[in-house]
Amino acid sequence: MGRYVARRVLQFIPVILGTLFLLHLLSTLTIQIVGDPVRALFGENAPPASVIAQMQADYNLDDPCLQQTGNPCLGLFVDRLGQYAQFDFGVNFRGRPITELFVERFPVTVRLTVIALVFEAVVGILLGILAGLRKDRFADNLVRFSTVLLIAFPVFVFGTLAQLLLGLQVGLRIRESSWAPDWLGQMLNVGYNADYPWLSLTLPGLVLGAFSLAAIARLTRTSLIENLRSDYVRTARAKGLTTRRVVGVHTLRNSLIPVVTYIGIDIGLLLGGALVTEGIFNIPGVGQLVFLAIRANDTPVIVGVVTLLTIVFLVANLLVDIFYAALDPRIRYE
Amino acid sequence: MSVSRPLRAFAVTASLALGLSACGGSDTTSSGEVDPTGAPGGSYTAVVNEPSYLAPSQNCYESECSKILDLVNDPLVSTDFETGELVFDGLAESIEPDDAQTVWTVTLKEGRQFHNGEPVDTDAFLRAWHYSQDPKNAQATAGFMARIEGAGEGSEMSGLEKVDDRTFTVTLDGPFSQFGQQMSYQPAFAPIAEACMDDLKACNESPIGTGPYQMSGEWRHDEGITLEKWADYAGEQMANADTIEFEMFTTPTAAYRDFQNGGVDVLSVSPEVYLEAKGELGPRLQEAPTASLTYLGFPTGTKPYDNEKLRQAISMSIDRSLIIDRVQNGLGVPSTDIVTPPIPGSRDDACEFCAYDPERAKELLEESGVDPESFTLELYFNSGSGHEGWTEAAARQIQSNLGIDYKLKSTEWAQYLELLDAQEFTGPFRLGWSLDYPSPENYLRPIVGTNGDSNYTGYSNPEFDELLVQADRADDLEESFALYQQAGDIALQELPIIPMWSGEVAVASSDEVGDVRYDVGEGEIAFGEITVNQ
Repeated sequence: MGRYVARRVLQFIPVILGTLFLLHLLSTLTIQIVGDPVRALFGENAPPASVIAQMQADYNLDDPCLQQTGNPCLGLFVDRLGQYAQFDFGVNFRGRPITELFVERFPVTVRLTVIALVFEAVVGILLGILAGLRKDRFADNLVRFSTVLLIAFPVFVFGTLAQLLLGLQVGLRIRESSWAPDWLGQMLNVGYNADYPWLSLTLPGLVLGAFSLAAIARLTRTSLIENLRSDYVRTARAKGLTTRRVVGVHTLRNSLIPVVTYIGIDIGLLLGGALVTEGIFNIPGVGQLVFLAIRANDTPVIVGVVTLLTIVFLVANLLVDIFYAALDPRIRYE
Repeated sequence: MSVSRPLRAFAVTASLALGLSACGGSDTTSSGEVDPTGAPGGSYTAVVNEPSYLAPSQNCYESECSKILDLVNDPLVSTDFETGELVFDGLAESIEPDDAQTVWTVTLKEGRQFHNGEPVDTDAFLRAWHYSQDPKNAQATAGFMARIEGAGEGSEMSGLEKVDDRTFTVTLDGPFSQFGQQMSYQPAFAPIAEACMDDLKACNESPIGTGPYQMSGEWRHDEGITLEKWADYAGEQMANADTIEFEMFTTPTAAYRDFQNGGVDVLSVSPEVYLEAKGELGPRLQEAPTASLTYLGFPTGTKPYDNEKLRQAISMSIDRSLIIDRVQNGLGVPSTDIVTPPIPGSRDDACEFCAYDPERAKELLEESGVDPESFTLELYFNSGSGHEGWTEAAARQIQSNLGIDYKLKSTEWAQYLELLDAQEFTGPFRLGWSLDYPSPENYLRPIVGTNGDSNYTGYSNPEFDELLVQADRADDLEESFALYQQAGDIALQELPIIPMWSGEVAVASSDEVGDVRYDVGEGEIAFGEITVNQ
């Protein structure tokens, strides 16, 4: 195990360097092709040239290589790596450190991720088992139909519908009524409410988890059906084990390996913030930060946050890989 | 969205074409108008987007920070939108130019203080203005100081001189009759308290102002800003509600959903939800004209757009009213002048070639001698900001009325600005303008004047420039307006730009607030005047 972990960690270094370099390349190319973000900040009526020059100097955007399209600006990359090593991810165009912006918002995104994950894993696996055990019967057809529906709906349609119907039509009535408890109204809210940091994330969490829920249900179902047909299950049954033990212990554990993989990837994705869902429900998470930065053309934030997210994603992946090896011994043997 | 100030109106008017669904029947009843009590007190919720800076206010050059700072700071002086005259309802008791309109004497009112008790005196202004013009400090509104002698050269400019604690003189680098109006752009000319200057960073989180409201607690970034009435306020600005809660939303739609949910009390409705709001709100949604201008500019040095008759023909072949009705959902006023209607000195019959007249357009095209089949009209706009719909509509009208083929070209905003700066457009381009100060000069000189800050057409006419200079020197407003209008006539004859329309906003208010009005001068809802029904 130790050797496996060491090897995996060593592999991690070139991966992260390569990713950071690609990011750097993309951001410099964008500036070279699209143009100076400082100038774009001011729009039609430009401030005096000296003001622009000063701001470019402040944000390290005055390097001549940024004028030469195609130049990879290696010098800037080395500078950047040096800053990253000291946990300096730069400041936004308003002078606020990006790490501060990120740390403020990350907990919200983590909460949203947890709600979405619990929902998609618990409900998804249960639905998958139900469908798998009742193959081609009504329950199976219902699950298959409804999951296709969930996958087919783009999240902005699904999210807006949920917000309008559940959050506004139903939710507003509950919040204004005298009989309903407070928590119920907050669970069905039109947006984030800082006074209810978990409850008001319920509806967006469900919307966010819906897509993966469908995927997990289908993965579980297929994998369960396949394993139920395998030799070892037949043997177990022949030995006279109860169905409960055959399904619950022998089959399900094996069937869940692809599901765990999927969830692992999903954690990384969800932690990156859900741009659309956070936008619809006005959630001050990482997705909102990126959303606002893109709209404001705040290049330093985009580069800084995407870099941080890449690191989070890669570290999450590393952990999943190590965890995976712990689950399945075959993986760590050469 | 904290777009730069000149952009904000365009973000609103121009993205109207996007995603509008015709839902919401007109039969929705609003829950009975409650007459505003008109009494001060109470608290209401409004919407703001994350401002750029709150201190020093000189770094505020967009709509969101000025929304807050207009309440936190008193203006130096205001401009009356009917007459164009200065109104001394702010910190200045008088502002007098000398005969040459070059040396301006500013006298401050007695006894005014900052929120922290510091006196609002000459030093506070000198401190602020010297700081702002210094290129080292990279202040967004540094351009406002550019006319003052010695600006932009070092840490102090020579044109500012202290007379006594309440009086100082400003020497300009030439005569400029509109300097008083220019000073009514509050953030650029606000004073800075000493305590603020000592720690700008802390001051940015909780600005020390001179106005009727002060911040309650610190700026909660990306969440909200709470303003409360300042008990010791001695000025004349209105402040009815005791507390104004500004909340921030990721998208304008999310803000409107919160309004429907009973949270927000007053907001400018975004184009995405305008029709929905119109159906739902009835009289609680009011439309008001803004001073922003949308126009098409021509690369006047490029063939065939160097031909004046062709530019006139193109202008007359566009049916502005139809585009506003169909594409912009009726929000907008067809242009009749380069200067927009709310601005004093604007006219409703100045632009002969802005009328829709396809027959006349064809005649003009013939007179121009340009063969409509000899070229393709390339129409430029910046992508992703909702300009797709109306630019295409305009191009189609040109095609069907004049027989000129068109091609739409779009780029990202940053790239668009680079093309503008380099004047590399090969066809008409869409642009917008919103004012810095309410004077016809603020439209004509930057957009059409030779080497104007926002003149991207390459247009230059010495006669036009000369009229502006004469107007700058005029003794009274009437005379200067007449001269600005003469200059405007030249631009409207030669048409380096064709004005399309001026903006309109829609303001929604809940039945918990009253006296909601859009203040065209501030380019904002008049938050101080809003009363809460108790």
